Amino acid sequence: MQSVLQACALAAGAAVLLIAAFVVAEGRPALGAVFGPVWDPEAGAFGVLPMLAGSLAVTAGALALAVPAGIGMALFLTEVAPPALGTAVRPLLQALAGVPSVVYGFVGLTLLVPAIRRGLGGPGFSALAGALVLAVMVLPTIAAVGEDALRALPPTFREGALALGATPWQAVRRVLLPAARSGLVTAVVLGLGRALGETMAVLMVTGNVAAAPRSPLDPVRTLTGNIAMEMGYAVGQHRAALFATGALLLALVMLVNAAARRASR
Amino acid sequence: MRTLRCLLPLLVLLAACASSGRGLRVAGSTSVQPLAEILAEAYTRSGGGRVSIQGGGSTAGVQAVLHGVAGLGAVSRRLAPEESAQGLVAHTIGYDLLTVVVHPTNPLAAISRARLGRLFSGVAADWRDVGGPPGPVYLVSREAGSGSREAFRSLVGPVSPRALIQSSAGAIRVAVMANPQAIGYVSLPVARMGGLKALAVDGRRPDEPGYPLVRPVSFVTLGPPQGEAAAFLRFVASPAGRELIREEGLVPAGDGP
Repeated sequence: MQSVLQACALAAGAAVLLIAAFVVAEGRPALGAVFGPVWDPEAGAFGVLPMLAGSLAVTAGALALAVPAGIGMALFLTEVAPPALGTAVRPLLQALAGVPSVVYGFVGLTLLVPAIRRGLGGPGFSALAGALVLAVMVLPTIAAVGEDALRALPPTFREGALALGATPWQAVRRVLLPAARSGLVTAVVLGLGRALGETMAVLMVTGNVAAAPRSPLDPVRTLTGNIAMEMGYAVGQHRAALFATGALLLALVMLVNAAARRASR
Repeated sequence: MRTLRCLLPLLVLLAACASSGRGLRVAGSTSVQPLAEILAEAYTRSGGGRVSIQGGGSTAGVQAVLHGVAGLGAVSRRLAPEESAQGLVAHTIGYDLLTVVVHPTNPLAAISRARLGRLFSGVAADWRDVGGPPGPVYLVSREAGSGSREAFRSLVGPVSPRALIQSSAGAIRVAVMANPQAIGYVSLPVARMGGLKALAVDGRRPDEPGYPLVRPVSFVTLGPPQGEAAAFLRFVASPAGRELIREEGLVPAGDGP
């Protein structure tokens, strides 16, 4: 039994290492060229910095919306809502997490993009549209993991704080949130990972212009969207540049995970 | 229970056969896809084998044929010299009209090729510059490597790096339909799906002879076509196939561009 489980663990680890090695090896010829400011395959320019800016912009925007909302929802479910309401809301959150990303993209394309164009100006296809769609997509992850983190706290924490005369809000802010910090950071990192890696939904609403955005209403192209859109055509240096984009994404996610592990300690 | 255990692999095998089939697989240009689907359906109905159609883009179609994943590649541009050198043969089935489309409420009805070039290169960024009402121009283009984009670039000129990028002809249609100030280009069958206004270019409407934005549409094979692929190509070149091509808004090969 132990050897079977060991083999499973080794297979998972080996798969990750193999993929990473393959991506880096395929991207190596272009690694020198990708840290440039211009992406124009027709002219042989393969700089992915505009897409890096695009990915960071939509991810940061999504987290700015989804982290307060998600942790607020987790607090509501654990501290405020009567148990009956909690059991009603939880399956809805799970359903939200299970919706395929292309559906989110389609809803964003038909509702959000025209609304932004009419209400705020610009082409509608924008970093803002991408951030909003992503925020809805990562919200259930942050809320569910955050709720687990809060629920795992011993009830004596809350009871002790309240017994000492703290108001419920003081108990949440001074006792519960700091005590659950490591779990909440995990929730945010999982959300961040999903936002950074999401491709289809973002591709459909961001307009995919390979230029760094100057305002939230400007169109952007993400690292993932760049790979998805052009992989069908890419040969030679262009293909290597897309693999280098993938390697950059991989490094970015690893960096975020390492930072989170440090922060949660 | 034991019978079930014996049957299960068989069922899986059957299901796999049914889904992949022994039929011909066609992959490539998303702008040729609607026509390819109609031709495939008619071919099967007229007694031919099963044909499955996939998109992905012209270059993806070429790659699929080179790797033996597809029997035919749908290509909406000329083959590059290095592609022909690898043994690919293009069978031109007709000529597609690259249609310049705007929102139905756009008052513009015609444009010259020179002005179109100024719009798409980003030199003219306001509709006033090309005789329309004032307001920003939102360009919608295909991604680098797309057959439509390459044809457009060779017929009209460079595309501004500020143009919005959509990765299929259908997505361009949706984007232009949603924005009264947008302009894009799609093949005529996609433009005919409705919801858009096609502009006359250099005084010619897309359905008139002499329309300037024309490109060849081909199926490519690796070496001379064989078996199912040859039979399908024969059907496409038959009077019935040519009629379907004409109905879809393309000019069948032989009628001249």
